[in-house]
Amino acid sequence: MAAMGEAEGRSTTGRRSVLPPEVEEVFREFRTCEFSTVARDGTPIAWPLVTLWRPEEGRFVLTTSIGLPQKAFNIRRDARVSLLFSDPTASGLKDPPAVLVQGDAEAPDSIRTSPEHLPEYWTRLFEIQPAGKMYGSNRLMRYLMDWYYMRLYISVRPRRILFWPDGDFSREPSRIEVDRVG
Amino acid sequence: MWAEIEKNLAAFETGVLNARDAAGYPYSVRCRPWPDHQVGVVRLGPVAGQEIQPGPASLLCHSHNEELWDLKVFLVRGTVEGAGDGLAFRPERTVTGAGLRAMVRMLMGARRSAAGYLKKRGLERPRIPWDEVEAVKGPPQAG
Repeated sequence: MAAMGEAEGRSTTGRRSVLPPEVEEVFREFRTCEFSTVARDGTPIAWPLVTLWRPEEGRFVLTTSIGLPQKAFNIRRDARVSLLFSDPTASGLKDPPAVLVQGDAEAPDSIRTSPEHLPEYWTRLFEIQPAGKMYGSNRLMRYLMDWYYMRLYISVRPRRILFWPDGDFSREPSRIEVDRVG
Repeated sequence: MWAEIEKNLAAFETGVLNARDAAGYPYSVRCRPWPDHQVGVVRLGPVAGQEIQPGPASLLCHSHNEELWDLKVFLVRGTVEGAGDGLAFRPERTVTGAGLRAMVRMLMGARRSAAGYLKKRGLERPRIPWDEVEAVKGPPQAG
């Protein structure tokens, strides 16, 4: 893949990019990103979501319940999305950059109900959000919250990555054009 | 709507403006929004934002604690105008408010929405393999 700073120009298709370590650290450690999809009227709508960065595949994996499917509907109509990593709460990182990933998403209409489909994601989710274990913890919660586990998986391949050192949005960001990252 | 926006914005130090760039991709930046009710816009503070295109936009404020809990979300749709120090968001419609009541409303709506998703596709409500869910949760935390 190709990834390079703005001063180096655009990447060359077919080369593999290596992300700056502080950017990849943000992907691993931030608890949420602001995930934006484009609504039918063209409005970009963001919602905080947990992400899983899979560098070996050069993509992010996110999920949404079929009880909150609008993100998936938007992606099926317009694949252009973005993930902004701008809230370092609980990440343990000191003065991390803010990172914007723009990319193309897929949201197949396959409903997954078992964490065994992607255990890495669910293990991480329950580790960083231990109170979430209450969903389905007793018969009443299983009746009320079964929809929480009826999931659509979203895959995002980055096309461009911008980052603001120290999260300072008053400065112009550094840019990485991406064919494939990892 | 304006009073609701002022009240909710006061609860968050920062927010995220979601606009689009020239290629049509979502382009988001974190900013310090403050309502300028005389003009009817939300000012967004110093944001370089040269790639932000005027047009449809949304403003998201959210927070969570160290354990990704105590979630608060406030989302408004509108339009973005201006640039640089003059970048401003003109709100048009609140999508969701912050706080427990809004969260409960959202969760109950999600249950109905899930039923609608399945019905539209002629699908039975799937059974959740609870033993597999419990297995991935791991052992209960001490304390």
